[in-house]
Amino acid sequence: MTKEFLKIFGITIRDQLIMKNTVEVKGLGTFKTEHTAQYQKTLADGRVVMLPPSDDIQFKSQFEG
Amino acid sequence: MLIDHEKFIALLADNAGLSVEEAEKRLSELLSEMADAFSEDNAYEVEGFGIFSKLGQAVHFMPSKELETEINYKYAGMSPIELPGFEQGEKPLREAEAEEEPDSFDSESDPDEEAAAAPAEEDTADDVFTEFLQMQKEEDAEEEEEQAGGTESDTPQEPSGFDETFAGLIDDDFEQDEIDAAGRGHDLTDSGREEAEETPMTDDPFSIFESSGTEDEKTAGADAEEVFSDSPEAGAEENSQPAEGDERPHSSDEPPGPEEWGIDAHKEDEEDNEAAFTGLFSDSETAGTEKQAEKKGTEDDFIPVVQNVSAKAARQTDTPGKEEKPKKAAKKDEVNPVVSVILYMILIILITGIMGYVLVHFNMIDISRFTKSEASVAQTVQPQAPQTVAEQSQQPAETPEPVLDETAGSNAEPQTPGEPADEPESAAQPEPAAGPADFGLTGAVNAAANQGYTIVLFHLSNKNSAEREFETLNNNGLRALLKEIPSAKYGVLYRVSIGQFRTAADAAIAAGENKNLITGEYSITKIN
Repeated sequence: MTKEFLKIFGITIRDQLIMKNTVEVKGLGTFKTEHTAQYQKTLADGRVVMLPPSDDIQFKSQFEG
Repeated sequence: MLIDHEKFIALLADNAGLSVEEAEKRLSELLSEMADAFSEDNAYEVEGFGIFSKLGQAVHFMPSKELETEINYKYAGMSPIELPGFEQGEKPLREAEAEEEPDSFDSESDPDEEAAAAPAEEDTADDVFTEFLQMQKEEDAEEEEEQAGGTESDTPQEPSGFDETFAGLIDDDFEQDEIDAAGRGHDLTDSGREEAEETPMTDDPFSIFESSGTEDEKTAGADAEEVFSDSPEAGAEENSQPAEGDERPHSSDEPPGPEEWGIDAHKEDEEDNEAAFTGLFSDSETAGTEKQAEKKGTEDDFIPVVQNVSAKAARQTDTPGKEEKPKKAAKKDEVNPVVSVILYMILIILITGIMGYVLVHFNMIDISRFTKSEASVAQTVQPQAPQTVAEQSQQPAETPEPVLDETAGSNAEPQTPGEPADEPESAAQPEPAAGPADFGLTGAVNAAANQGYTIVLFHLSNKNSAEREFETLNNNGLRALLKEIPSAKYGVLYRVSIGQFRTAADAAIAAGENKNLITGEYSITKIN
């Protein structure tokens, strides 16, 4: 398995995730992004902060190994 | 959009420059390598992408920092912003309200758990509702002032989605019939009154803040008190306030005062400020609030208002993070025009300076006012000489013009007056005239005028050349002067100049007027 193929593998999935697409790799799993809106959070010291939105990568395993 | 396995293989083959079969084969090799790694309890890392690890039966994927950064490139630069205005111990409006998509992987979220967690937000909901009502009250007061004198509307208004809007904020213990009663509010029909079991709503929104003398109002106030007030005595305080019934408590000119609203927030001696607002928490009030809410629009308008409460609180105090951004943008906007103006001014100054230099250089403008400086510069350029040269016998009027001193050694010798001129003056050179100083560009050389200035045309090292030029100028009718100037660098220089002028300015003027005679560069210097 060449490094170049691994790199292309990662890039292919990454590009689809950036476009908010769900990628299914048979035998491995499904990659998906989930958006988290901005929200307020109280820190331990009592301060309240507004956390920015973010996109999180979710992976659902279908590994058949 | 779902990129299934086949599409993914096609993309992979396209990116790698392989055929579909080859890409499929490589992928299967990758999966087999992963399986080998997992069998040895190792994780499998794809550089720049993430790490796959197997825990139990499931494979977990941990994205790399690079991948996370690229996925969140839209939010790059965003950082948590501290919200001022929340003292320690105060709770924010909303905590960790992340959106949940219906097909989320983490489907283990239990709706029952969420419902169970709802009561825990009671205190938060109370605060939100309190502030919302206060805002509504303020807006009502403003509208009432604007609409002063207007006719009262007797049409009953249908309840809005009050219950649905604030369902999340209202305690679950709040009974449905109470919600309905609050929502019905303005139903003035008898049936509506019976069902509402509370004081019939009037068109006067502020009447809801007044505790009426009727028993229904008191009952309604007590019911609301159970839900919203912290102290059971607050309701009693509200009910003790004088009521004015359905009529408007105030004239159109005067807004209702706090006393009439049944709240004590304005009283500073109140220890428990929370109790001061309990007068607001009556069913009639909520119905009136709902009425105002209807005016606001659809259900969606409520949510932003609630959210804006915190934003409003944040705006009241300086929020460094949020205010910095608009301030920065404003500063940028302010800076850009200022910078452009400054650049334009510099450009104009440069153009003006260049034009002025060109005009002066090509003698297009009169620089007579500046000739003194030029003369002084010319004098400094003159090789040492004039001071070492004979204190020439430039005695006015009587001495002959010692224009040229033939003997080199005689440079230091002052020519005494009366001495015959030994200089091999050219025949063409007229004898210096004696008498009063006669200045000018033409005519005979006047020894008395040798205290003035002259226009220097040449500094030549060759004596013959200098004499030739001297003769030429004399033949042209000009008052030419030829003078030997010792120079440390060149030895001896022969200065050919024309004219005798009283001041350097006169010389400059003459030079400007006779451009046809004076070609090339020239300088103005003192004759002696």
